[in-house]
Amino acid sequence: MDEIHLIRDVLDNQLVDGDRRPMGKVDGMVLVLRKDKPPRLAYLETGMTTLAHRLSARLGRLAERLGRKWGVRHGKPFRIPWAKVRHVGIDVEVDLKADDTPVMDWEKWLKKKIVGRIPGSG
Amino acid sequence: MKKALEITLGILTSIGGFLDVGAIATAVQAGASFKFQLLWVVLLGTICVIFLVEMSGRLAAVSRHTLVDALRERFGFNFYLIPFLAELVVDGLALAAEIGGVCLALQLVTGISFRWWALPVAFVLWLLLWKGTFSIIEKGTSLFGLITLSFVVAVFVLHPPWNDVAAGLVPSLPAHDAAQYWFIAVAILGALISPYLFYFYSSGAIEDKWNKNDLGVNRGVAAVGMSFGSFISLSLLIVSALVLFPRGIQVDRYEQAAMILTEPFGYWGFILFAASLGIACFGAALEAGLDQAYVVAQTLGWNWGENQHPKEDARFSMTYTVFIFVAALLIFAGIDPLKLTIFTMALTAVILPLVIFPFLILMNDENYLGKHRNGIISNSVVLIITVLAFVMAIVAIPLQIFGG
Repeated sequence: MDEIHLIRDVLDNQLVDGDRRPMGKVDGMVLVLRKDKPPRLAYLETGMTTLAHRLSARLGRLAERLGRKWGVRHGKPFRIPWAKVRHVGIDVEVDLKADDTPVMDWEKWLKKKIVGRIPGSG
Repeated sequence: MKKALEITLGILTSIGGFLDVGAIATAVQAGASFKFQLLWVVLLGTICVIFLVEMSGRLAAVSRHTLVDALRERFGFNFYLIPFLAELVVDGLALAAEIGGVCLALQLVTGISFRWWALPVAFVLWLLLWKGTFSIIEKGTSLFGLITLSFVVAVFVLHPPWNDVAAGLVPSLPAHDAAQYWFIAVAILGALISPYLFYFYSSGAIEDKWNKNDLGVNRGVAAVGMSFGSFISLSLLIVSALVLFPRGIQVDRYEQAAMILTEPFGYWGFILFAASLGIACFGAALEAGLDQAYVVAQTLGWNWGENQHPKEDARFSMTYTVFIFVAALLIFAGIDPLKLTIFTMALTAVILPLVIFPFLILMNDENYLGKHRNGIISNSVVLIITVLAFVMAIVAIPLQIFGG
């Protein structure tokens, strides 16, 4: 049986969607505690807030505040249920469409508001 | 046949891509102040950069990871943040220095102050990245970069005393101005071993979809290409030693550096120097600007690639746009490009261990490289030269600053 080491093979790896389009990195992993049962790996997280929390609690709170004020995602990391993970190799492939998720919000915002308005952007 | 073509192209790229504002400024200063005595440092830096470029190509071909992806994954975000920020700062300053180099070349030819050229140059750079593809940028840079071969021709026109040149390839202690000697040595190493070169190289290898079959090409391009590039650096130092050293000119402005080709080639030498400086720096600025976007996009897992239209990777395109214009503003603000260059190169030598030690650990990791991991030779060569550059830097930089 093949084994996965969460820290080595999953955390900080590239996330790709079903069409192998990049959708950020695995910035965090969330386990949920259940009554009378062992904890369960529930979500992968991606987003600046998660990264900031990894560095320090204070930075994390700051990132949340900034995100609520100006972020297109309102400072919330995007959570991917572990059940959506299809493959763990060079990348972590999940059964989603990048374009349908909030991970592309900044990309779409920039495309619409700035890049798309500059001539020659394709 | 296809392999041979690939190697040739790769080598052309390295010749064109090797020389940048740092390599030019440090080689000219070294020759002007210490004649042939610092040639060995160029050789040392070249050896190190050959190994590093080969390593980053091998990492990409075998593990299918760019250097950035692999570093973040292997060491985790919290540790990776240190080399990441170091690289962004140094690469950003280098980008500004390269833009400054182009502006100075334009100032030499037109007489209009470099400051006024900063924004137009940034605009042309940006436009090429916005509209161009990776291969246009790569091939254009290398083709025009061949003009720097004029330094090699100049060496043969000037008939240097070959015995003295050969003696310079052996390390020796300076007879005078020890602090300045070691400071220039540090700057030469920082200029040749620029991290953006191998970050850029591994991203290119991923864009070109390299695999294990490309390992031979990779080795050939790294060794031969970088050696050719270094040959031009050595030539530049020799020409400067022959023209500037006897006149006792210590270079603190580029106008003085421009003289080095007027002796062998007359008036056209002046134009050739300006063209070489401008083109080499422009090519390097393209690479450094693109590299910033690669590093940021790969760190955060965005879609990236110079072969896509800006609309398809808006965040990637915006990243190089912002970095290029911020860098250009530094030059527009009037920072002296020559001073900025030397400072940046010395700073690069200081941060080198931060970038290179994790890289070495990665290159020894079986999970990434399997049986293609580093041998004892690659490990020792890179380790020794990096430590040497770092020690020289922390000793020589304070001496240079406080000694005047």
